[in-house]
Amino acid sequence: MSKKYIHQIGKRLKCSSKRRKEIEKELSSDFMSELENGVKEQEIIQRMGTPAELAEEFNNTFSKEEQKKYKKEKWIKRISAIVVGLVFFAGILYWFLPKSKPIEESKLFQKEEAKKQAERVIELLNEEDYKTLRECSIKKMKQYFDKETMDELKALISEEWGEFQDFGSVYVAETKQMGKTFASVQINASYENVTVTYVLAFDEEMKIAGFWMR
Amino acid sequence: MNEKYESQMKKGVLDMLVLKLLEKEKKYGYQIISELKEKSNQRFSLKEGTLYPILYRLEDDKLVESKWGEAVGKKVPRKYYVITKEGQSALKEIEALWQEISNSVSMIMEGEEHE
Repeated sequence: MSKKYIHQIGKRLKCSSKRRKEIEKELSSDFMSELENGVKEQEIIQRMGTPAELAEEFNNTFSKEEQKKYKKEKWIKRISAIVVGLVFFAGILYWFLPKSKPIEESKLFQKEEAKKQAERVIELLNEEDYKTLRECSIKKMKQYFDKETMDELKALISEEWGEFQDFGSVYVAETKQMGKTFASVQINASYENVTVTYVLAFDEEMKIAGFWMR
Repeated sequence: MNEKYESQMKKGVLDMLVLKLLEKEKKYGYQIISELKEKSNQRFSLKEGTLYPILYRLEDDKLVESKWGEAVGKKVPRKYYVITKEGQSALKEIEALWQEISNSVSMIMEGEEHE
């Protein structure tokens, strides 16, 4: 109660932070002295006045110098708040953006392993073995691997794909996003009637963490 | 009567009264408030918002100095105000000035009454 009251006064004072702290300390010392003498909080507050009144009394007496310091500190506070905000925002943005580097520089992933895993996933898709695909996925991805969803997605590319023929060009990279590292594989697969580009993301355990096709 | 007249009149002498209370010994803020109230039969019941600006001004003018006392046991630490040498001599001058003003005021007030 008393702390809140003192704080309410402090934030209304238009002086340097040094003087403000001094006033807060002094007022709370008086407050505590009275409490020790058995005066009730409400009575003390009634005697001292509302935070606005008390602050106003102080504000009317601050020297020009104190007022100048107050204005200067207020600007510094504002500007530093903006700078901190911008840095934080930039940090968040950077964290969200995927950052790729060549798979050869990766300490976590092997190019061949990632490529093989991608080919395996596509073979499982061709065989419509969604049970195994779900087992190979992170939790969030499991919901997509069922016959209904996949048939819908496949239909968006072509109604009739035809039999699988062969794998085409492969590109593998390490991608970092939101504090997690993935191996992303872009691989072409040709079917009788269409050529499909798959993009797959694998987490550190080589589980499917992302899946796109076009 | 409008309260404004009373507070306006008191304002002029507060600096002097505060210095006077500090003349013999150091005191902390709340102590000054209580003593002023008690010794003036409640006439001068100051609020913190009135007293502290006065003390800060006296301090800026080097008439008083302040120091935080050590917190003893569970007691609250207190900031004590001590009168300086400059403050002592300023107090003497202000007291003399007050006498003169008070005499002049009496002369006018009594003179008006006799007319």
